[in-house]
Amino acid sequence: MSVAQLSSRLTLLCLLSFVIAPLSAHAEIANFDLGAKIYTKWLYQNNDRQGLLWLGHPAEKDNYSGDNGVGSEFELLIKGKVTKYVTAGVRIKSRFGALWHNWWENGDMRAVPDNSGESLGMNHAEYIRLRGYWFRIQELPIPTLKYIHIGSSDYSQFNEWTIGKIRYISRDNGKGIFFDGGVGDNFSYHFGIIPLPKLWIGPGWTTGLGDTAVANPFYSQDYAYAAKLKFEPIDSLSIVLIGAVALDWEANRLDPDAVGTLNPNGLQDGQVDLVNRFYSLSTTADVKIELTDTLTAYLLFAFSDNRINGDYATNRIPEGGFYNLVWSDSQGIALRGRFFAEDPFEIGLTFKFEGFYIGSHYNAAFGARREADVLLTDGFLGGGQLPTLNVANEFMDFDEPWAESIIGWAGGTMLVDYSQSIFTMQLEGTFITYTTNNPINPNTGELIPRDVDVRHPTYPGLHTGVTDPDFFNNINRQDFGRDPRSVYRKYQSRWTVITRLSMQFDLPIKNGMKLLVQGKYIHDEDTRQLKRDDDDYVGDLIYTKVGASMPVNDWLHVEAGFGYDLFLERRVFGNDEQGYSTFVTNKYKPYLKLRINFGGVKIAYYLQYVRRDLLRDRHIANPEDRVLDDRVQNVWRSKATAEVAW
Amino acid sequence: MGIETLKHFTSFFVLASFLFVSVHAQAASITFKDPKKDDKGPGKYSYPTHRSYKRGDFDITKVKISESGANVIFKIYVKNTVRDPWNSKNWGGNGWSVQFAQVYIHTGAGKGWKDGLPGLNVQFEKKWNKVVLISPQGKTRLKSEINLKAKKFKKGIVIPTSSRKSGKAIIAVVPKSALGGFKTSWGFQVVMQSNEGFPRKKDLLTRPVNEYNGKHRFGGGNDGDCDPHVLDILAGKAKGSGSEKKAQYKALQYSCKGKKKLATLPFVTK
Repeated sequence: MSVAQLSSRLTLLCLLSFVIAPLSAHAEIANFDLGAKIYTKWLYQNNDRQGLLWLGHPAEKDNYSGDNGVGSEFELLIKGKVTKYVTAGVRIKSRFGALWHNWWENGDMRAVPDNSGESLGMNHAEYIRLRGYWFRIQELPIPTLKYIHIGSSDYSQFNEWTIGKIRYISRDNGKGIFFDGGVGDNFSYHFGIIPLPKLWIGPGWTTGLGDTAVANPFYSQDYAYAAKLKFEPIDSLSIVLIGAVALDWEANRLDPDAVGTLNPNGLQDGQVDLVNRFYSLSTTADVKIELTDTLTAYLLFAFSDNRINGDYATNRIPEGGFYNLVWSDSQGIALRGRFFAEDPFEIGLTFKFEGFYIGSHYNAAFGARREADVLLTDGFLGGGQLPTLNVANEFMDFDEPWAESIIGWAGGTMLVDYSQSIFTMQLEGTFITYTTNNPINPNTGELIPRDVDVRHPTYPGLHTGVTDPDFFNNINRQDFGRDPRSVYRKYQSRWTVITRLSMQFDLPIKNGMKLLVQGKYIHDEDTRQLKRDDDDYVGDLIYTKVGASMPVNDWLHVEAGFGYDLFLERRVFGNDEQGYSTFVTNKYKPYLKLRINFGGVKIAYYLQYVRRDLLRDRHIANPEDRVLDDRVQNVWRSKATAEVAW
Repeated sequence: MGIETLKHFTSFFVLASFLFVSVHAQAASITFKDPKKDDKGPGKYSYPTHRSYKRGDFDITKVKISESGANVIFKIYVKNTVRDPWNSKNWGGNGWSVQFAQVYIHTGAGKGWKDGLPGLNVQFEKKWNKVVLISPQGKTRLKSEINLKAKKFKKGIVIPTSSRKSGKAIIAVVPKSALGGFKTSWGFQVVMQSNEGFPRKKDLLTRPVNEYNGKHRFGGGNDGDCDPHVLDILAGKAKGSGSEKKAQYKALQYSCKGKKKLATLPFVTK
């Protein structure tokens, strides 16, 4: 081979390398499944609170929540197939919290915000953060094992009564190691090892951090262990058993090896003993029987056992009743039975019956906190009903549904659904009495008072009326009803009736118009102390809404409507010494919603006006004799979002 | 209770019954049945692992198509109660979340297509002329996606006046005029897919099938776009017999090796 030939071949080789190299790189990239999204939110209200989130952190002061602002976030999802056996995924996302007006913030924080662009801290820095990551190993040479999942999970594999699905915004914050497998179609299993979230599991919403009873919080060995077994012996029967135990450990403060030990002169052995600060067991047995294609029966039994070590946890109940557990040990059961007859006559008529019993000490400490619902009823708040004191109505905007605790609820619901051609209807009737009602002392004929000073959390605030989710917040607890977690009273003898009718008409007008009519009536009665008539709470609560919606064209959808609520609450506010006041609440809520879908961009706009007239002391006929003044809220607020994903 | 009162009650009852029967009186109707536990596409597809999907959610058990005045009502029954785990009200949806059914109709009239809509990777033995989209997505989202990804099929795509769930069925109300009338002799095929709010670039709101299932991906297929992204269809005589499982698995056979061969779906008739 001549030098010239060699040279030309080398040149050809180089050229080929240039051509092939990008192709190879492309082949590598082709193994990635990429997804990206830009999300922007505008939040505006006629007040002077600046920020991007209507309700922020309930306890810690933050500098990103408020009612006025616009901000954006970007996220990138990367999924890949490593080999035939391994897949992996990552979600990286920018921090949401900076206003467009911030212009530039580098993460530095100063005591007083200034115009340097270096004073608002990391919440306004729009930094990119690793939000979620996982990998999954499949086809392992282990009989029955289908996969092992390591990393982020929203825990939706379990249920609301044991380990609840994590809310959407935190869906990748939870991590763990999970084993999934089964035998044929009749048996499957799922096991999980889950690090306890330090944010809310445990006494006082903590696994030790911030608790004055713990000198050296140790949380890195706090785990929950969960197992789910599913049996389907025959087509029409399924049995699901779930058990989860959460263990919060601390260093034994009497161990001479422990940091900050109280026994420094003891014999050291190079190891630190642990003691249990909190133990929580929750189990469910869930049975589904398909009697026919249209008749189905469900039965769920749940048990919870929560134990607090008083030496390593502080009881905050005496300081105002703000606590997420009954102090210090409590066991409880819950039962739920359902029977569905789903369109048995094939005329669009469905009946659903449900009976429920949630024991006064049942508490799913690691259960679902929001964005879930375990009962058929619309409840008081229209959002989710959940069997935990850890219900979380925070980090949310004014248009999001509220969750409420159902600890202590016992009763039944009947739902009738009817749909035919252009008409759909749902009718609900629910009766609730409460397992948290106090027993009667046979000697005195009066209720035996519940211990709300040490054992049972009541949540702060004197007001015990219905929660007003349009305005309730964690600061003003006086005007907007009880905390949705407030399930215990010193004296309670309560029952409730909920009725609801919802109708929708699909009219063939232009592009199709939907007319919506909704009405709900709640009668809520609590006689409190039996021998006193002047403390009996009686609430008559009416919620109504009418609306119409239709697509204007291929890309614009419009909805407008009006809501009116009336709450008449007798003897709702006060105390035994000074007596109780009657409140009347009127709320007027016109609204407008727009949705735009065009060329891959999704835009939503919600404009709401809420006028709330709270008329107080209405048990006093003469206005001049009234002590408590009336309150008015006059609020215009709006939320717009825009999303592009590719 | 006096005789007069009794007469009034009887008259009222008769009148109410008459009205009820009138409301439910329907003209032509067709019912197809499909065997249970065949929601496996060509035989080996598996569900996504996220809890939002429960085995049976995509298992067609019965399809009822009936004439009702100026409308045609499509009822697609699945094995499970239809649920709304993603709270469709939040995204302007129709009250359910995971199912997305497409009803292909061979009317023999007008323009037709052999290819299925984007995202399914299927074709049909005969040309379809209309397809009814029974989706939880609102109308503007559907129209926006159609304009972006399925414009060439637009004349054949029918978006129902109303879509909703009831018990174990998803229901669509379609004006007869949008179908060009209604005949029980037409050929029908129901393709069960899953609603994907964040679809791939060319997919019309459908959820892909991969080689292995993932949190929100079906498994048992192929990572390329040669496998049918379809969980269940009507097959055979559509009477619900066990042999129809095999007919379905056969109809959904595909090949990714060499020249790509898409699954070819038949129409079923009354």
